Amino acid sequence: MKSLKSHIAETLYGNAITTAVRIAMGAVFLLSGVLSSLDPAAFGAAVARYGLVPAMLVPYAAILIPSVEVVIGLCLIMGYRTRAAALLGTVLLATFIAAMVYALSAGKSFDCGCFDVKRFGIEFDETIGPKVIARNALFIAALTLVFRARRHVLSLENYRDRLHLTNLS
Amino acid sequence: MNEGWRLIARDCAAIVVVAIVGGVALNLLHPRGYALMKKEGPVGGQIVFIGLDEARIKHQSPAVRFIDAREPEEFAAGRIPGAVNIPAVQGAVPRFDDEASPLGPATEVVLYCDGPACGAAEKLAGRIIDAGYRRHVYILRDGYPGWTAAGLPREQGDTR
Repeated sequence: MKSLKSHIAETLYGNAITTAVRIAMGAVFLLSGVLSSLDPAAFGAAVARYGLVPAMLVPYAAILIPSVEVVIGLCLIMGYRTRAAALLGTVLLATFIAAMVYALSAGKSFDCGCFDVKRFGIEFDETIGPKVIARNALFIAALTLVFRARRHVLSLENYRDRLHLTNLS
Repeated sequence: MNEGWRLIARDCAAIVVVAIVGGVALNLLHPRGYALMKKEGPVGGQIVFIGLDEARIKHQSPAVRFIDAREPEEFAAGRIPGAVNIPAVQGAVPRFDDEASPLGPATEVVLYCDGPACGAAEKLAGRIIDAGYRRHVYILRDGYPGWTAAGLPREQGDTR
């Protein structure tokens, strides 16, 4: 029976757990990006609320952020450019956390605009605060695991490497 | 930078480029996408930014209506006295031909939100002008935080 240390080492190297985390994080980013893309103006208003992006640049941020999330999500789900996608996702989440901390320190309180599910009648409290910040920190930890992994099962990169090895032999 | 990090940087750049191209394309096709290219100026009023001194003077006039472009919860938590709440994106633009309306024919409007970097007031001003409002739309540059920081009066309570 494997020891806990051995299980952890396997997970850090890359196993089914790492793959599940990768695909789950991909789904999170894809969902967030798609929901934000449904109403660019509403997402732009949410971005403007943080008070960090100059008003002139808000439309560009409202277009770029969801599309980056969608591409990161697809890359993670498919297991393509995985490490880059994990790194970019980490940077994005760290930026969101910094923006929330800034808004909280200014005494603001509003919906973070992370998952716009209210349009479907789903009540989901995403007011900026410690819970949302902790959730994003957890996502960063998950992406760090994905970034560190050397092997990604069920991924395009794994398939491409196996194909390359088959061709060599 | 070693080879591994170079490859990661290259992949990151590729992801961002694909996202930019995809985002712009989606925005062009989106029925509610942003108008990134400057279109011809609106027929009607212009957006004029004003400071606290001018806003304080306008606040004393019964012909001027202050409009709060923030969310209803923030409006209830604190607002400029006499302001009405029209959230920037979801709020309905009132009629222009009704004397009692915030955008009535004899009324001048001053919009405000969270401060200089907040785009909500500008967004609402754009919607009001696009709807055909012909007077200037004033925006309080420093927003509600600037108003309260100057020690000016405020009110709280249920939304109107």
